[in-house]
Amino acid sequence: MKDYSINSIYKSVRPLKNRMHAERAAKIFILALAVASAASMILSLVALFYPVPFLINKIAWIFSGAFAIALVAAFFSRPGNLVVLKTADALGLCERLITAYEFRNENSPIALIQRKDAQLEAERFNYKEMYRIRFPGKPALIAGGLLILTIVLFSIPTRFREEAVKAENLAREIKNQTEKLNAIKEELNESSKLSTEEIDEIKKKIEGLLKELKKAGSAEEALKAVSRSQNELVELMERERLESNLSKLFENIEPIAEALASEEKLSGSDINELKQKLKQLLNQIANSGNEERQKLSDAIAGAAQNMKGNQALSNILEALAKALATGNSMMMDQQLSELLSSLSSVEGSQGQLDDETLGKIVDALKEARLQIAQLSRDDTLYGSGGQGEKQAGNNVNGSVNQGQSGNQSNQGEGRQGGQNSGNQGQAGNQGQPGNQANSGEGGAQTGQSSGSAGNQSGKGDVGYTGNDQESSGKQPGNSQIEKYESVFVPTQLGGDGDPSLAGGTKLDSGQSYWIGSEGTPVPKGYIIPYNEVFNEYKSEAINRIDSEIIPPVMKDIVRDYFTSLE
Amino acid sequence: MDFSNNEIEHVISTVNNIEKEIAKHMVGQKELVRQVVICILAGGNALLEGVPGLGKTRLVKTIGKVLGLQFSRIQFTPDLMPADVVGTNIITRSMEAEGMFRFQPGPVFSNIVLADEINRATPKTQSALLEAMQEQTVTVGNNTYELPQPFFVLATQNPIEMEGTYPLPEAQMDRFLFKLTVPFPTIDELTQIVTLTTGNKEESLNIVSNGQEIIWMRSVAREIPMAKPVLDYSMKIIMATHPDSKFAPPIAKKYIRFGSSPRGAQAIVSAARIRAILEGRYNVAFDDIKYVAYPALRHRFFLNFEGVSDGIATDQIIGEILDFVE
Repeated sequence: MKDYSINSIYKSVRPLKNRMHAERAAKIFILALAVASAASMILSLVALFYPVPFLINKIAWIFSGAFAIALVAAFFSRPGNLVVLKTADALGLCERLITAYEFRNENSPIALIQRKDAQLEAERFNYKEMYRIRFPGKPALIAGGLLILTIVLFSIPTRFREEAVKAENLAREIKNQTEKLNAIKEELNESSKLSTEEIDEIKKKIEGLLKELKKAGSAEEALKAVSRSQNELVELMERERLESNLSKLFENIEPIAEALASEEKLSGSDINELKQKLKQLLNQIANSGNEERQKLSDAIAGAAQNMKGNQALSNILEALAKALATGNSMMMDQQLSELLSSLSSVEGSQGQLDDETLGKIVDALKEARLQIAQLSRDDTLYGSGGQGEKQAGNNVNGSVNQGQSGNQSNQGEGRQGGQNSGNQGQAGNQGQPGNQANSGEGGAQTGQSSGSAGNQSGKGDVGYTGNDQESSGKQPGNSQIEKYESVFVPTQLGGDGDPSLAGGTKLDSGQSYWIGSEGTPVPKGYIIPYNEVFNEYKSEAINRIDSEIIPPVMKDIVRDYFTSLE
Repeated sequence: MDFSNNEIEHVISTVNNIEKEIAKHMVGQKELVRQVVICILAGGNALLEGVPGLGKTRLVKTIGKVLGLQFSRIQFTPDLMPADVVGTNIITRSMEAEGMFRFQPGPVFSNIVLADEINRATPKTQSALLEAMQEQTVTVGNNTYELPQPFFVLATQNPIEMEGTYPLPEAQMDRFLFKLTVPFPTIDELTQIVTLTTGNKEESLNIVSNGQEIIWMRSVAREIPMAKPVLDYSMKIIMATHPDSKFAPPIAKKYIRFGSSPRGAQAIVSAARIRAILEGRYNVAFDDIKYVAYPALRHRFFLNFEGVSDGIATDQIIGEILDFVE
């Protein structure tokens, strides 16, 4: 006997349910298309007046998201049984089904008869004829219109579109460089030549760089981040190199000393003494303070005295002792290199860096900087670049204001230019490496004080409070010893540590003498008035900015800076 | 009660037979006949309104004959007294001490009472029908007499000849289940009417039902289920006739003075059940409600002065209510 229950009625109306579901799904998809089209149209409209990088990708994401949401919504939009029954009733079943549903649990004779009647009518009903799936024409028309509008807006070329393309290239390049840095980070783990602490330190720096690259909104910021990391790694590499050279010195010193002894008839006690002193040098180099450095210097000077038979070696050792006494790591490194070179020429070996990985990282950073700089080479950097350039141009006497009294973007560019030139200084190793290396970086702001421009040892944020005092009418030349502040502020470059402070004396001429500092890496005796080095710095800077790949805006800043100092 | 398809089919065939027999003497007016039958099966009274000569009296007489029921006719006039309708105590000829007065039943003691031109009688006489129509009893003196079952009143009134008439009071209007408007026949129907009534060939009528069957059919109709949405719909319609109700459409708020009483809801539901059976269904549909809403409501709400002066028809308001209520 046929079952006339409510479930069998549900089955009878399933064709209608499917048709309703299909219609709803079509509506949802069209609606999603319309919404996605509207959102894309708005985005395209915004892109006409503001650079929106990866616009096509964003539009693709919008449509994909809308499609995915529509798919899920369509899946869950299957109509419920009650809705289907009501719809069927409205189509011509005259409330038979809803009545059967209401009395589904009743078993009275009239209820049974009513359910049977409802089911028979539901089975007889031609849903295909009575319920035609209506295509949502109006929403589809709106969606189509919006889509066409989006395409039209998308195809209008504007300067913001070009800027967006540049930003896209920058983002791609940052991504590439990030991948490379990650690869290098992986390689670091396999490097057996570096200690765990060194690896950790390098990793930390790379991670810091990766974070900054991720946050970088412009080529300028990315360049800054890369340059900063490059500087830090170069510094690290130099330290490594120094330690490495000392190590090699120790390794080489024994056979060479023996050779010297046989040639120059040095006594065994001479060799042993030399060895002993170099051992001390190596042991103490890690914790070398001023006093210890002085002791080391004395020890090496003593060794030089004992090397009278080999004048060249003796001279080098003397120079090394001197460098050690001053605490100038660059000079120490230079002298050690020469010493090694001298020793190696005897020994027939070359003084190469042990740590290829570190060098590789620095090379990678250089390449990254090069690539990023290329991206912003042709045009002014969008956003802050234009403003910075204008600011620099307006300052006729603006050596004081470059990079500091200007707005944030101007300040950033000033530092950037300084950093770049600073790197060049380091690479050049001319004269006094430490000062030269930093002069460019300080150059972005050293115009604040004519007397202390050459004294800046920081990485670009150098300055002191005397600037304000000067501008407020305080007469220079009163020989007043003042507390200058913030000669070197590591936090401004993303590092940590306390700022360096320096005291000095201003003269009537406007020059100032540096007296002492707290924490500054510049040793006493290496401070030279800027007018003595100005021309050299300027010519070096001009040469470098012409030969290096540097954004034109930054080149102008550097040129303006030196012009303002003349 | 035991229920089967046969019962419903029997009701349908009986009603079809009734309508066929009536059609022998009534040309056209099929919708009117159907509505009168629904009204009778629902146990209500009907007020037929139409201009003279449309066959109102003929229809009622024909129905009485076809149903095999006792039929009486009261011609309402201004001097008609209540006792002329319900009956009175009269002195008997026998000189029995206690049986000196005897109740003489009036014409209301029939199954079908035709109250012809009911609006011509005074309100006092009209009111004599109130108890009979609602309680289906008659009280004379201290005695209450039950009327024969089934009982229903079919009243007629002329809507245009208003001079010397007494419009039915609201309370009495409310006693009528349906108020039916008798339409003017079409030209073909008119031709047939003339042919039929002016010749000698008039078909004789057969009795196709009886009082018991009508009572049984009423009980069958009460079994017909009604889904809650349908019931809610009919209640909302009643509420919509009240101008203060949130269900009332703007036209109802504007033109209605008083809305329908709960009797209106009872009328709609009971009549809708009969209509569902006659449509061959075992459930009440929205269409049934809509169908019976016009005759069941058109006399149950009263227009305000603005409505009367604007010439608003109650059917127009009902139509808008049906469209407005969901």
